[in-house]
Amino acid sequence: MSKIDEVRDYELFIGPNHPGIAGNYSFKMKLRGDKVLSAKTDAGYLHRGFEKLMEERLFIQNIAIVCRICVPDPDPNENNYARAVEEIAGIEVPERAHWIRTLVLELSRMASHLFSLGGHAATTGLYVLANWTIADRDRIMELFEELTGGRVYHIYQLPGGVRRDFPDGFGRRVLEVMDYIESRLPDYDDLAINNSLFIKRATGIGVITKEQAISWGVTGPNLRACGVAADVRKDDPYEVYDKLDFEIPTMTEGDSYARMIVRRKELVQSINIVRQIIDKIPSGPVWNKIPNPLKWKVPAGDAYVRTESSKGEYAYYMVSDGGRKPYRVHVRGASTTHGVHVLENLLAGSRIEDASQIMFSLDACPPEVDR
Amino acid sequence: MSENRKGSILKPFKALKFIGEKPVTIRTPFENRPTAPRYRGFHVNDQEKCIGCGTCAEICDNDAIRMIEVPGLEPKVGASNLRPAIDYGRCCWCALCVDVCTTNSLNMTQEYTHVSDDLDTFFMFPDSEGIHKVEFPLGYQASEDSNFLDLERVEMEELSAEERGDSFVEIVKGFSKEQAMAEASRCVACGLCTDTCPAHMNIPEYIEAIWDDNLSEAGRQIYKTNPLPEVCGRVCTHKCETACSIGQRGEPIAIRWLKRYAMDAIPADQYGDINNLKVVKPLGKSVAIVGSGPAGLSAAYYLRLMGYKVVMFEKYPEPGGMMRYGIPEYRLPYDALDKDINYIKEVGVEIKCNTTVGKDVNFDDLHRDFDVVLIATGFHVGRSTRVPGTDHKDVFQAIDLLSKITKGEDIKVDEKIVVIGGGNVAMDIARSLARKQRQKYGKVNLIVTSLESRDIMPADDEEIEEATEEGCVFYPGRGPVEIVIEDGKIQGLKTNKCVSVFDEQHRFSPKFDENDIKLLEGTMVVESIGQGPDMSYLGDYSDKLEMDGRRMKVNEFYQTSMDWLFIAGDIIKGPDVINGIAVGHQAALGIDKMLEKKHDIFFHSIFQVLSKSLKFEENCRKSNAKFEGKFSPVINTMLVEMIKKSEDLEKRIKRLIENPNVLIHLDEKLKRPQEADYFERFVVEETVDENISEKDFLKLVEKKVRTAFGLYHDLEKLTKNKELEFLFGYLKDQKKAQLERIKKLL
Repeated sequence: MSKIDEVRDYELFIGPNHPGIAGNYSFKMKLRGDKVLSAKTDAGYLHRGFEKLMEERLFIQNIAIVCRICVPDPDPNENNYARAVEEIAGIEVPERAHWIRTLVLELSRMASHLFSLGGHAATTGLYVLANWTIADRDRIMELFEELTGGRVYHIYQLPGGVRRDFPDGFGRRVLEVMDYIESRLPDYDDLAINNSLFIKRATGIGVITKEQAISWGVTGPNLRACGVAADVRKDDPYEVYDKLDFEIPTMTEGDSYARMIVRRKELVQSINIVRQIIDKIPSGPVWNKIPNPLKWKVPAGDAYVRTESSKGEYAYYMVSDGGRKPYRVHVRGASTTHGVHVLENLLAGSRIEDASQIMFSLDACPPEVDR
Repeated sequence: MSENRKGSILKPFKALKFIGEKPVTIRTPFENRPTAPRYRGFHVNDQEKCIGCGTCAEICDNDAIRMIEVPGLEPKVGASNLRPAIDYGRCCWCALCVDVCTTNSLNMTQEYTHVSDDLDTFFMFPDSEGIHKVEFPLGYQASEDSNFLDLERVEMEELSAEERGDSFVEIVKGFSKEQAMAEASRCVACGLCTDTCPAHMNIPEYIEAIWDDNLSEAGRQIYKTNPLPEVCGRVCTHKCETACSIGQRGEPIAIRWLKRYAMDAIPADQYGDINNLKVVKPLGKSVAIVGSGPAGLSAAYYLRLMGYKVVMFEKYPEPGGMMRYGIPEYRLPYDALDKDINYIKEVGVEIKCNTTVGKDVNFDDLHRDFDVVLIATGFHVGRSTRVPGTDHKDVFQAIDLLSKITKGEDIKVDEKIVVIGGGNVAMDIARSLARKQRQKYGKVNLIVTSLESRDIMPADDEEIEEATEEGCVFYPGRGPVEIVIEDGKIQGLKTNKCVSVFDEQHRFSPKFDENDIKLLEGTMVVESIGQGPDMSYLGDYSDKLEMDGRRMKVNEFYQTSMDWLFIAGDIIKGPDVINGIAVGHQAALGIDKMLEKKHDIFFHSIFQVLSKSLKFEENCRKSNAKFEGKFSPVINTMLVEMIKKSEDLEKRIKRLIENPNVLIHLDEKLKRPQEADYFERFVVEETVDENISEKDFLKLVEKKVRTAFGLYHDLEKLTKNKELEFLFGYLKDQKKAQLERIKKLL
């Protein structure tokens, strides 16, 4: 190392204010000029001790907590929690509730992908797409508001089903929003995805090879962008995914742009799924009553359940000792892999101006890491 | 989408087509965005509908709801004077409170804006007008389909009318374990029942224990305020169930049957263990109790536990009063009654039966021989309608017949009987006679008539329904005119239609329509229109007592103007078993207060209780220290460790008492005042024989530890402060561990 190099080497602390990621997170980077030599993630800003909090609360009370583990995509948490309790306690869920839950999960995935597409483009300086997608995401928030009463945190799925049925005319409005979002996709393409500037910025950035992805335990769109068609919805279908017709889009390049394209294609699939649900959803009750929640004891046992969230494979491991509160709940946040060591590996050797793009292209959710 | 990654430079400029579009995010001038009809906004609470049960606060995930006392609001049956106030700094808008609300009074609106730099304004008291007194449409609302509460009762199995029609076998079969637990699981532990129960029984606590399948804990909780639970588990007038918050929209919890289940399931020989009796120091003073009904027995039990010598005087051959000689066997089997009474005897209460005060024993002698006399002789003299013909030999008083049935004496049972009266005693005699008729004649021909019309009949609805099923025929709303007698034989009862029973001031003043006459046929008439007391045994004393209207003047502890004479039961406050028990208990406390010259009968604050428990720990440590080194190494090690533990616990309690952060909570009122003596009893220094055997010593230690365990267990539930709760939880766990260790050694 020459003397000049020594002078040019410096450390940079990025964050913790949303450094290109949906939540408070930070990195300690070593740089030489514009080049990142190494990066160390510094998590914990969003650690609220959810897993421990859950041990101190009644089974029913936790439904108000779990959604907070991932802000942009809260519903897989609710779904996992409800399904884990149902599996341990042997609770049947009415057919209609399964369909509604699937609808909610897909809407949530779309909202999260829109958020991520916009954010991704914004890291390259293309803020207009972010403005568009966030405004379009608001249409989905409005659907959630109508269905659940809450816009961001829905607190809607609970053991035994869901809390409320569709309001009048809800299916029609869901389809309207789907049509609208579908009509917006070409606009997104024109503005960012087919924009040669964006292509140039995103190509070859943060490349994960298929082998790396598998050995690092990457899941979700990030894995599919490397050419592996793995998806919990197909591999281990839950709710009513086995009754729906949809595809798993993949890309092979494994770079930032490929990840963008996978999410863009998944939007189309989700629109397709939502339309099928509205078309096929059976009528009937939406909730099988659980015992008085203040006294409710879930029998001793354990359960491991997983869903495909917008970030990847999202799992809960729950143990009940037969009491009124869960003995232990472990959350396997999908972002735990690509939010920590994958990110550290990709950042090393990249350039500082690409760092935030790499982060956002992985779509890591810090609260999932911190829990 | 450009998968081949050949982009365009020009296409992005297509975005210019939106240049004239209205922006979606900025609204000028500022306006509130309308919300969806199901929006979870600020709460509204219909104060009239709300009963202040606190279930919303209980389910709240973030402790955002606090129940606060509303000035000027009086608590009433089934409603407290508390109402929820919400801290919007903590609320997470999950609406669990809405879905668990017992009355559906709590809902959410579509209002969502509150701007202020004063943090206190975020702590709000929602009423039906909305938080800013601006009307907003309702948002997230309670819905029947998604309500969390179980509104349907577990059905109680009963003998059918055919099965029970000719026998005195108990009708109600009682809950099985599964049924009881299912019923217990419906309870939200609001405590409105406790407020309403005359004896203030720890209902939520024992229901909780039943749900946890911890029957000895249930028994312990029950015996704290009720020494006749088998009786109350069957014939209580269950005012608690009227108050039950689940009853607001559904069927109230079957509290009475749950109590019965718990007590039926505990074998009689375990009662002593459950209640930890022997930590009582004899005080050398004595109390005489006249009458062994519920009030007398209740007073006797608690007085005995306090350390007094108690002697009861009963004129009938068996103790129990009205419970035995009034209530028929099909409602209260004698086995159940005996189980309760035997335990009271076991505690050391002496009951002298076949001893009538005023005849076999002189009242003066009682005054001379005992420090205090408590009279609880009840209402045993039936009242007559005094219509012409009531002096006929075939006109009977219900109460006399009932006691004869209990005694097994022969009574007259005619083929056609008329019963006058609309209360529960009338139902008892009608149903008993119906059984006798069926036994004798194979069919029932019995008429019940009362002044009150069916809707205002004082008897329980279920009693009337069951009597109808058993064949009794009702003619409500008719007043007796005369008993028609021909050739010395009763032909029937002539009645008039009763137009109204009470006048405008709700005074008893029946009005009749004299043109509407009906003869109710029967050859035997039973009068059951009420009873009165017979207190002739008081002799001259009755003139000396100060009166308050028609009743004797008493203070809050039922002490009369002669300080050695206390009074309890129906003769002062009726008219049911549970009131008797409550009055008896209260009188016992008053007697103790008087004889021991006590000031504090109740503890109201955590601090008072904590100082007691500190004293208790000191006591345990000292008494254990005395025996250090005297027993085998195993026990010695345990003793040494227990002494260390006691020191540690003392330190913890002291630290807490001195902790300025906790200080304000120490004066916090207990959810319910606790009987001071209940705690006092545990700190009594017991003189232990120096040569005590190892086993006896261990048993003694076990009892103390168990007592302490019970104390901390209760305290943990009585406070809402987290630090105190944590301390008590810790203390409780320590005691539990010690208990298990001792049990192993035993």
